[in-house]
Amino acid sequence: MSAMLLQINDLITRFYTEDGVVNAVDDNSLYLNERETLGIVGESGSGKTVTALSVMGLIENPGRIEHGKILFKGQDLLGKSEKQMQEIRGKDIAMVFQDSLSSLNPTLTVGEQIGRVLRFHTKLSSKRIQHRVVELLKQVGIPEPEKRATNYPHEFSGGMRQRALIAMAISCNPALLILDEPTTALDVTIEAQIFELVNRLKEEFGMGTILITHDLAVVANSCNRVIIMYAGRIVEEALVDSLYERPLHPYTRGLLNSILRLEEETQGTLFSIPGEVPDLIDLPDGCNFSPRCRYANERCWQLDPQLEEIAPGRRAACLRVNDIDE
Amino acid sequence: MIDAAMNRDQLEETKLGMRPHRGLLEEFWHNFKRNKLSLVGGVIVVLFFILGFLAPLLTPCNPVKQFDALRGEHNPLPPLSRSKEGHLFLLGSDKFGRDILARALYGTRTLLELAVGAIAIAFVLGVFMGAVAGYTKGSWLDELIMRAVDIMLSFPTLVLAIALLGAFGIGKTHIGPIVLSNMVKIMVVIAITYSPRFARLMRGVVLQEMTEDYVAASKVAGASGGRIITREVFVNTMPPIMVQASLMMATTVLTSSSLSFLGLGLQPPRPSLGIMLNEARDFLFLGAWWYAIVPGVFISLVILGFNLLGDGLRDSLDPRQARRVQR
Repeated sequence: MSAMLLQINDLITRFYTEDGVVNAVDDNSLYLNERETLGIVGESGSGKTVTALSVMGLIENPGRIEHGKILFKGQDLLGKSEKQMQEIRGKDIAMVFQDSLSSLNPTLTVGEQIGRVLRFHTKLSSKRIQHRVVELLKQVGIPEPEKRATNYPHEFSGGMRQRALIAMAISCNPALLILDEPTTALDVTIEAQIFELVNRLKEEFGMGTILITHDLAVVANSCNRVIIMYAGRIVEEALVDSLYERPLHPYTRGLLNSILRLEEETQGTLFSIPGEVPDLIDLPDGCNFSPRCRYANERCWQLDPQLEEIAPGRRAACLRVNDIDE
Repeated sequence: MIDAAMNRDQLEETKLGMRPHRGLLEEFWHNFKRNKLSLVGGVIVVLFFILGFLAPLLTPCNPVKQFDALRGEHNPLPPLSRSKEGHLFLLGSDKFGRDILARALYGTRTLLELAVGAIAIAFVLGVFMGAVAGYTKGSWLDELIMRAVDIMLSFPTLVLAIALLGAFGIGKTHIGPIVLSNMVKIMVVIAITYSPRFARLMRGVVLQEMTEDYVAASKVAGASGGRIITREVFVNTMPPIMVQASLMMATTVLTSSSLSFLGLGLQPPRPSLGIMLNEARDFLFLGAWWYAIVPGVFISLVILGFNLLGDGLRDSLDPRQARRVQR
C-alpha cells in the first residue's frame, strides 16, 4: 500500500440556517492514497461537495466544521490559518467545479486566469508565466494555444472551458485534484474526452484524485475506489470492481439498478428508487435510508447503522447487510 | 472507429469554439450599436459635450458682454435680430442685451463640468463605501455605512442639496485651510447627496457577485479576499454601476440646473442654463419665447441624451447578457 495523501477522520460539517441545523456531513471518515482515484457518489444534497469544500477550508457562514480531522500529507488542515490555506489552495490541492462558464471570470482572458494561479504560487516572471500558460493549454488539448490564451471565456465552447479549468487546476502540479461533477454540464462525447484527458494527466503528474459525481458509470471508468454517500453519511465503501460485482447497501443496489443497460433486456419500465432524499434538518429515526428501503424492518427504523468493515477495504452501513444477499 | 468519431467530435468542438475573437470593448460596441435609441442618446451626449467645450470656437461672442446700444432698455431681442453695432443675435438676446446662444453654449459647458465632476466624486465615494459594506457584510462597519446611507436616502435629493448649500452659504467656502470655489462646492454637495445611491447599489452588486462560482474558483486557486474584491469582482460590478452613473448624470443635470434656478447654485453673471431660465420667467408671457425656450431645450436634450445612453448601456454593458445572446 502506498502512502496516505489525505485522511479525513470523523468529519462533521453543519450549516446553521434559519430553518434549522443542516447536517451536511455527518461524522464521516475516509482516506485517499497517493496516485489513487477515489469516487464519491451520491444524489444532490448528499454531502459530496461539502466534504470537498471542508477539505479546501472553504466552508463559509452559516456553515461550520464542528468536529474531525483533515490530514493532508500528515498535516492537519483544520489547524491552518486562512493565510496558510491560501497557499495550499491551488498549489497542493486544486479543485475543478461543475459549471465551467460561471467558474471563469467573464472579464479576464483565459490566459490571465490560468496565469494568476502561477502568479500566486510561483516566482516566475510574467514572460515565463505566459510561456507556461500556453504549454498548459497545449497539454489539455486546446488547439492554437497561443491564440486561445488571449480569448475570453465566452469565446470558448463548454468542453474547451472545462479543459481550461483543468489546465488551471494542474498548473502548479497539485498533489490532490478534486473534480466536482466536472462533466455534468457537458454532452456525452465531450464528457468522454474530458475523462480521457483527466486519466492521462493523472498518470503524467501522479496526482491523487477525488472525483465527485452522481454517475456510477463515470466512476467505473476512472476510479480505483468508490464511496457512496447518502444524506450526509457514507453508506458504502468499496473497490470499484467489487462494488459492481456485489453491492452491499440497498441504496447502492438501487443506484446500480437505475443505470440503463443496453445489453440487458429492459422489462419496459426503468428502475428508480422510490421516495426522495430526506430533509437534512429533520432526519428520520434509525437508518436514514429506511423510508425508501425495500428491505427495511422494525430495527432499521429504530437503530442507526454504523459503517462497519465487512471485508478488507469494504465498509457498509446497513443492519441487514448479511440478510439481504440474494 | 471510435477514435475517428472522437476526432470528428473534437474537430466539431473546435469549430464551435471558434467564435469570432473580440475584446470586451468590441463586444460592448457590437451590442451597443444594435440599439438605435441608445445610439441617438450617445450622439446627443457627444454633441452637447462638443457644443459646450468648443463654445469659444463656435461663438466669437463673450457670454457676459452686454451690447451697448441695448443697455438699460431691458428688452430682449428676438432671434436673428441685430444690435445697434451690428452684432447678430442668432437665438436672440436676453434682458441685459447678452447673446443667448453664447450664454447657452457656455452654460452647457459649466453644466456638464458640474455634472461630470459631481458624478465622479459620488461614484468614487459611493463605490468605495458600497464595496466595503458588501465585503464586510453583516459586520458593524456594514451596519454603520448602510444606516448612514438610509438616513441620506430618506431626504429628497433636492431638499438635501438645498440644506447643505444653505449651511455652506453662497460663494467661496473656507474649510480650514481649504478654499472651495462655488463651483467645486456645488459639485461636492451634489456628490454627497448622490453617493448613497451608488453605495447601496454597489453593495448589492458585490454581494451578488461574491456568490458567483468564479469567486469560489479563485478562492480555490488560492486568491486572498482583498485580491478577489479588487481584481476579480470589481470589474464585474461595473456594468450596473456605469448604467447608474449615466442615468444619474441626467438627474444631476436637473438638480444643478434647479439649484441655479433657485439662486443657490452658480451665481450670475456666470452663464448657467438654470439662471437663464430664472431670468426668462418674467418674459414668458410678454412674447419673448426664445428666452426660456433655448435653455429649456438645452437642458431637456442633455437629460434625454443621458437617459437614452443609460438605457443603451444597461442593455449592452453586461457581458453575461452578451453571452446569452450569443448562445
